[in-house]
Amino acid sequence: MSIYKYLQTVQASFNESRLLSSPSWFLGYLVLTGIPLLLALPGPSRIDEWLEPKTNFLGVFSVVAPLLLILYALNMGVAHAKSSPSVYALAGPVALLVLLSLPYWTIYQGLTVLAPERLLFALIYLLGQGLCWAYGGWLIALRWPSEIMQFNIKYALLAFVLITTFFVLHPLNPFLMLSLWLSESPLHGQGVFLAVGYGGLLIILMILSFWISRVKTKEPR
Amino acid sequence: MRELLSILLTLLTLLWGFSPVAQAQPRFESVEFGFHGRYLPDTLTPLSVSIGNGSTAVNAILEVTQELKTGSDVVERVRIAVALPPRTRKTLSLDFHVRGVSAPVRLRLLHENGRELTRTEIELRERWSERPFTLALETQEIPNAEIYEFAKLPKRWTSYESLRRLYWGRLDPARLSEEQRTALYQWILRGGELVILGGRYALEHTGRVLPLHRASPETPQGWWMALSPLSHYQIIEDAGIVQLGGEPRPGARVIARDSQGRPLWWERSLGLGQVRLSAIETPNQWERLTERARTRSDEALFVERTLGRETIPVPARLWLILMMAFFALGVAVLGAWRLRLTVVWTLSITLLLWAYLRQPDFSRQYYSLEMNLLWGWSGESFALEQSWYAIFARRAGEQQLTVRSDSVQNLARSGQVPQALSVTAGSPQLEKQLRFYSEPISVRSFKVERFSPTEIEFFVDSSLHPPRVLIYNRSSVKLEQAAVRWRGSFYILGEIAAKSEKESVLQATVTEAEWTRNLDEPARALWQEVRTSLAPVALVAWRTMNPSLLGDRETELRRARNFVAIAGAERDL
Repeated sequence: MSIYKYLQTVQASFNESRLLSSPSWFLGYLVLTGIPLLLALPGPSRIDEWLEPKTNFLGVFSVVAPLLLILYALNMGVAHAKSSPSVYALAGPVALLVLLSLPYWTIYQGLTVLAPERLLFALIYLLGQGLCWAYGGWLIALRWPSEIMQFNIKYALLAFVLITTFFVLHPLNPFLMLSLWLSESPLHGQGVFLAVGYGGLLIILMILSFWISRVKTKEPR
Repeated sequence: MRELLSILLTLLTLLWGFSPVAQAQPRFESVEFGFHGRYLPDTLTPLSVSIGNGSTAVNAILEVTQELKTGSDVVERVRIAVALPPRTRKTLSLDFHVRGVSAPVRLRLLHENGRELTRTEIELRERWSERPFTLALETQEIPNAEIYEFAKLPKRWTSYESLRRLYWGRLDPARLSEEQRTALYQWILRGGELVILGGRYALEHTGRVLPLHRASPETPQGWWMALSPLSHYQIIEDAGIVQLGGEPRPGARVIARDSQGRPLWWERSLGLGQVRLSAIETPNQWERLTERARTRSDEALFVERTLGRETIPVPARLWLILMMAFFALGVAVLGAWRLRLTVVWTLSITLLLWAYLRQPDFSRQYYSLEMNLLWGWSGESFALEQSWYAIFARRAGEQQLTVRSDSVQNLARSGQVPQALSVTAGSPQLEKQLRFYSEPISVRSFKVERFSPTEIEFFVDSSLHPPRVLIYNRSSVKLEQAAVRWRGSFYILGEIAAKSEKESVLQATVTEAEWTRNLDEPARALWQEVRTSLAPVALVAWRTMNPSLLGDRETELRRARNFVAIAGAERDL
């Protein structure tokens, strides 16, 4: 499939979804992510303004941006299930979310002097996380048609996974993985951590895709 | 059988106890802390540690730490490498910056491979003093002063930081070691205050008076001459009372007289400090001795007022805000219309931001700014070099810097506890490695000080018309924008080459306001801080030197200002 055709599919999936067809949805994401970044923008150039310890809003941004992406991806999955286009077309909106956050991450990179390759790998991981949660949302929507149940299940699952991975399977925790990429920490000696993180995401993605395709084939047409 | 076993075990234990292996481990034999075991919080405190080594030679590290719990753990740490030859006892002395009054100071002796050999703790509770110490040597009771044994006087000027005043009684300077004399001399130059009691005590001192020449702390006589407010002593005995008289040296003055008009107190400024001399051994006009002390909070304010005026290149906030708003607006408009245009728009904005933020000015991880101030006093042996550093870090991380200094001061804003700092003293102890952690987008500031031999001096000959000035610059750095302040006016001298002498006529005069108008804001702020401590006859100049922070980091931008303030003297050239 050419990129052009793929984009057309993505656009079709946007148009089919009531939730996604409105740009205000993405604008909400941009505004919410942009607030901590706006607060983190360096103002004064005089040293005495920096002598007082200040809240590190760049740190806040590096937590808020992935969290919002996961939340949006999860809700996209739920919303997408209603229009039921191809499961692969869901990658488009998630990728668009990551793409839309690119200017913000560029500012973040510029302010923290982060190595560009570190940011690139962090964004790839974020894309993987977004896809996993979007597929998760899709499955939840298919399994529990009630919106109240969907609401309860998706947030309970999100909280459970994020908290659990703080204690076990650390590489699957988005905040821990991103803190490695976005920090000064050396990467040598982290090979296993990275392999488990990226490999684990890939496996989860494959399992979820397989599961969705099975659920869809069982669905009465 | 059981009895036999227990006897065997006892014997083995005894054998182990007396064996060279058991006694081999290096151990702390004695630890002396502060003055009379007491200390002033938030200052450098002298620490003397005796380490015994009963076995083979060991290369060890003495580590002194204090851990404070103030929300996050703050650690002040000093490390000194020490070689312990076999079967010896070694005494190490250092100064440790005691922060709080509750957390103990921990001493650990580590093998060079990191293994702990021994440890001990100094409990600080109820040992702290509320005010700086006033000590008295070889004299009787003096109000608010503690009698102190002169043999215990520290051998580094930094150890005297918690000392406000020192009274000198019936004590021959020759009884002090050369290190002790040098330390006291440097302490006074740095701002200390020595009060010499005359009268009968002067009988111990007068034998030391020599004709006035370059005073030097190397010999007791030279040291005494460097301090004394009088050039010649005279002992007056009147009705059983021994009183001191004499000729005040240039710059010294009488601050109190008795009912018969005879001088009772003389005073002389020495560097940033003062030496006072009383005519009798038990003066009662103590109130004449005014207080002058600089506190630590002043140092933080100094950084704020001077180094704080320096700027660092930061991306324009307004431009970034506009770009973010523009981007969101574009997404709102284009998103409803064409997805592909949204993608193109996002990528365009990203590229624009990337190009802007990749400018060399913004791509440094650290900005190290330093302000160096060289205090010199013509005719004295030492000059004081003070440096204030502000290190701005864009990224969080561990940093390591090397400085040449006698003392390192970790600064924070008034009322705040500075963040953790680890200082490793090399050999010689002058070179120190600072290790600290920087929070992202934050500034760490330090002050370091050291004494160096006098290299810049100048003298004004006011007997000539117009007066002339002779400047000696024995340093390897040229002086720029030099000017002499004399009788309230500034005389512009321009450039003075390295390792040269320059004789000039004091003619081209400008007012202080005109002179400061040519300075930029940080330089003007520095001048405002310095001018009150500067002698009336002074040479001021700038030096172009490489930043003194050592370390080779491409990711760092360094900028240094080097100001020279030399106190001069008037004399016939």
